[in-house]
Amino acid sequence: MSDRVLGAFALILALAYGLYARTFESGLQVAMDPLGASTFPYLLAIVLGIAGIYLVVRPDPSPHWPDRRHMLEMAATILVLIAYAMVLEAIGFVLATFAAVAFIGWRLGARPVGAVVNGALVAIALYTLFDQVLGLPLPLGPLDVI
Amino acid sequence: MEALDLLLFGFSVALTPQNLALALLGAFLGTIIGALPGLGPTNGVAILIPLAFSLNLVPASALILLASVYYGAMYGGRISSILLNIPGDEPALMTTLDGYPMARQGKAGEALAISAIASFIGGFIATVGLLLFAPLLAKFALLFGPAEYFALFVLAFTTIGGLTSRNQMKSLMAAALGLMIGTVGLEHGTGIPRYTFNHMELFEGIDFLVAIVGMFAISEILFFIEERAAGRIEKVELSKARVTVEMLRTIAPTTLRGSVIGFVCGVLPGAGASLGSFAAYTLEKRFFDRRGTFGTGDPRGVAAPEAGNNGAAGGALIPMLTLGVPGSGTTAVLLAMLMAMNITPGPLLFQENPDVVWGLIAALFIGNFMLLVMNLPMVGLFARVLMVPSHILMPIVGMVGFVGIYSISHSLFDLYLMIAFGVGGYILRKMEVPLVPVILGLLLGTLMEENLRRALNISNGDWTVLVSSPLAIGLWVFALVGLLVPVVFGKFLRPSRPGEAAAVTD
Repeated sequence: MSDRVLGAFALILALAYGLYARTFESGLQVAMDPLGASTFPYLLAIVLGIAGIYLVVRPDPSPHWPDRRHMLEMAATILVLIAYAMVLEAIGFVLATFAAVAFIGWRLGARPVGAVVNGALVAIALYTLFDQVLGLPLPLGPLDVI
Repeated sequence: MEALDLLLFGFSVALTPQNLALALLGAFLGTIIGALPGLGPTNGVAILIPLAFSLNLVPASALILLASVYYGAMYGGRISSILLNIPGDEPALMTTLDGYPMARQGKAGEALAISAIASFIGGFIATVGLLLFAPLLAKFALLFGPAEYFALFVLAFTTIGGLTSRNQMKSLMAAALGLMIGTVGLEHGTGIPRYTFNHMELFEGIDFLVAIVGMFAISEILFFIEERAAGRIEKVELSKARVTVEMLRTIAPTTLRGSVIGFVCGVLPGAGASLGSFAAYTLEKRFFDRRGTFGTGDPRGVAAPEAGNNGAAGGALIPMLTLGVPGSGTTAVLLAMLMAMNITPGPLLFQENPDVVWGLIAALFIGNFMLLVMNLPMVGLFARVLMVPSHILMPIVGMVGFVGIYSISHSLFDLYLMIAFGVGGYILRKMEVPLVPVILGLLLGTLMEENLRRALNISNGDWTVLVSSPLAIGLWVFALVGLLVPVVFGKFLRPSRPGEAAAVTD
């Protein structure tokens, strides 16, 4: 079943991608550019479309998807990563990394205290390594005053 | 001899203090990354690429660092295969067959020592092969015109799934997705924007490093969350290794055969390291396992796939360097790094950047030797890495990925994109859609379209130009064969996975 969904999705994507390619208009004369900007996308849409149809017709057995609890855990982790990217420049690398590492570590099975300690150590160690030793500038945020 | 002079030149590049230190660091980091359960050479190299890039290393040095990580990760991979029965990547699967039984019998130390020696010999023979055959293939590749290159890229996509591919349609789908992602941005020939939806961030196209780190590092975290419930793993105690001359004599012929088989498999486009270790083990079992001891802890069963694996790793560098077409996941990632530094592998690489090519080959000799010396006495230290709990490790992997991407562009958009690639990569991996063709499509898309355009320009729009030379026709035939062979012979070529026999129902 999963493969059927994937195949159908691929087919829709191929159609949308291929139709959108019709809007590309090459400024060059056809004689100068026999390929144009749309031909290659058309070819790709055809390949993806064929693969999609194949999966709809002959799907593999479905993989074992995680249960609801693990799905939620994954969703939470993804949200944390997105939040990390959002606040990285505002609150700085050290604080953001501390929070993200502590949270993900906790959800991966660390004890809360251990996760907090680990978060702090990892945040400081990575900042020291990348910013101080390797010279890749990372934002400090409010900690900049120190 | 010309090759010898060039090799000496290579050693003069590789033996500078900085490059030696990078090789040592790479070998050490690689072994640790490989030893971590679940992380293999591809993830290892993928996570470190953005760093190598933003540290502004010269290309030769960056390639030396990452190739050492590559070789090191394969040395490390055998540690989790043997001690935990968890292969870090597909080629390491074969090592578990006899390695884990040996460990269960209290011969973990011997198994690790044998695999280190076999890896060394496999790597050494492959590097000699690389030295001898790469320049020949590079000369041959000069014959390629745009039509031939286009056919070669098609060949790469039909074979990258490998002879062991389970579903060729999924490989094709992955390649098409990668190529599609590659078309986002300003089109190179005409300069018009495609699929940018008027977002400034998309005009330059999607950075393949963002895609690589997302798909390999971020998706790995999601897999760890899912598998946490899988339960604790039984760890085998490490015994003291006693390597006797007698034992070396037993495994020597096996190792030599395995190395050569692996090397040949590695050179074949698309076949890569998986087939190398699998073919080496299977052939050895079929023709030399007289007492039926393979699978029960036979030392030869450890030596064969390890030699084959490392032989294939060296062999896979040949098509990557000479044609710009990688033969395995990790070489695809190495190709990404070269392209990030504006070096296009291919026949001209040997003329324009001899320091990169020969420095790399010399570094492989040095790195391989370092790894052997490092691994025999220090294997206990590396084995301890296995004890690091994943709840400490995986957040670090993720954060290193973030730092790497952030320090390239300082763009938050790229970070969001990386997370999206992580989620997409997880779903694709879950459905057994291989990720390497996606990466390859993203890497090669522009070149592929460019060669098609050039070929059509030469012929004034006549598409038969694509099949107008015997060489091009040969490549098309190979591409078709590569597409069909796994469908017809696949089940004889791939290792059966535990649990594959039991059908998964909907």
